[in-house]
Amino acid sequence: MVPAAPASTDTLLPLLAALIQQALALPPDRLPAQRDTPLLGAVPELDSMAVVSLLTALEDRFGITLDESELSAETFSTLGSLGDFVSAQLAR
Amino acid sequence: MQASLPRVQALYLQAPAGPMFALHHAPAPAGVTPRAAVVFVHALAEEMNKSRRMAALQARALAQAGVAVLQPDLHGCGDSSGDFVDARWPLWLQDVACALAWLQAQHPGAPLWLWGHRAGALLAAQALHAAHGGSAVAGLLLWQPLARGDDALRPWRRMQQVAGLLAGRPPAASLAPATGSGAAATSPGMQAAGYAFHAELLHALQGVQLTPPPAAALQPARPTIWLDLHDPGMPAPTVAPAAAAAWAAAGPLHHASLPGPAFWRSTDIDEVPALIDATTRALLQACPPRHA
Repeated sequence: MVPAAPASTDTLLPLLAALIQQALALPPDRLPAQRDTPLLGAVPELDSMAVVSLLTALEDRFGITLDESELSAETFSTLGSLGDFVSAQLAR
Repeated sequence: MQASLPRVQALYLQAPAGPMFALHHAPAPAGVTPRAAVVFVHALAEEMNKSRRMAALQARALAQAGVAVLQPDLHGCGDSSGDFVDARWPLWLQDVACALAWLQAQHPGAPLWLWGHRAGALLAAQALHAAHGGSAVAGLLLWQPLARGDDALRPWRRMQQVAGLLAGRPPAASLAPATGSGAAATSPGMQAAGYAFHAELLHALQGVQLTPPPAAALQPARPTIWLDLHDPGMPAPTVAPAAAAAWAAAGPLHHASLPGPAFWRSTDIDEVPALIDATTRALLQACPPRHA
């Protein structure tokens, strides 16, 4: 598939930040809606159970089924890398 | 209407697999003839825990409306005997039958209902079969039922895979085998998030679907109340779930999807008053007041 253009990831960033905050019960505005906002390693609440709950929240919100075989640890390194993954899935 | 505390009784039933913990909510006011008697069939593992609050609120609301409610903990779950690794689907069916028999004995003549949540809905649907002691059940209440048992296992397999990813293992190596083909009883079970699923339970879950029992001759059609929640950020689904058609053919079906959080898996303990209200209203509509 054609890789998602950065523009579509950028429009997703505020929504993703909000979804992560909600899924992890973080205070609002905890995660700046920017590409380089660090996630894995920088957000202690983001453990494996939280990742699963976030994947499910993404599926519910966008009405899609995410393919775990396309995940890597890098997917969750920043808000931008997660955004790229989600916009690529949405583009299918 | 006298102002009184709700009457809740904690007890152990003698289920075939061992002592089964249950909470009995007596219908209010004291001495009233219950409109119905409902056995709650809880969700699986962590979903059960996260749903305790909603289940308690609903049971209380039903009791206040004159409905008796029994909340048993299935074998290996909650406060019942056994460890989760000892849980088996056939034992759980026996647990539900035991709960139904006990509740009917407490409230003779009251229409018996099964109320299943998530994977518990699958168990409740199977418990309706005459072979599992379900002939006497007058109606079925479903909260967010899973269409297939395998849907209950996907989050657990995903959890294993993600845990492996974060620990630096490549995806293929972190996938635990679910069942071996033709060797289900001897293939390994599954361990995730502190829960140990025995291979037999996995195998049973993979084989179960949300289908109504075959219609028995001379049996009054059982009503089904089916309530789902959808993400409030999404519009309500315009199409009924695929499995609903079979239930609509088996008897009167009331299906609705309300906006609300997926409380059985949310990080916070969420309450959804709209679901409590809708459930109570639908059940009372299906179960008119009775006089002894």
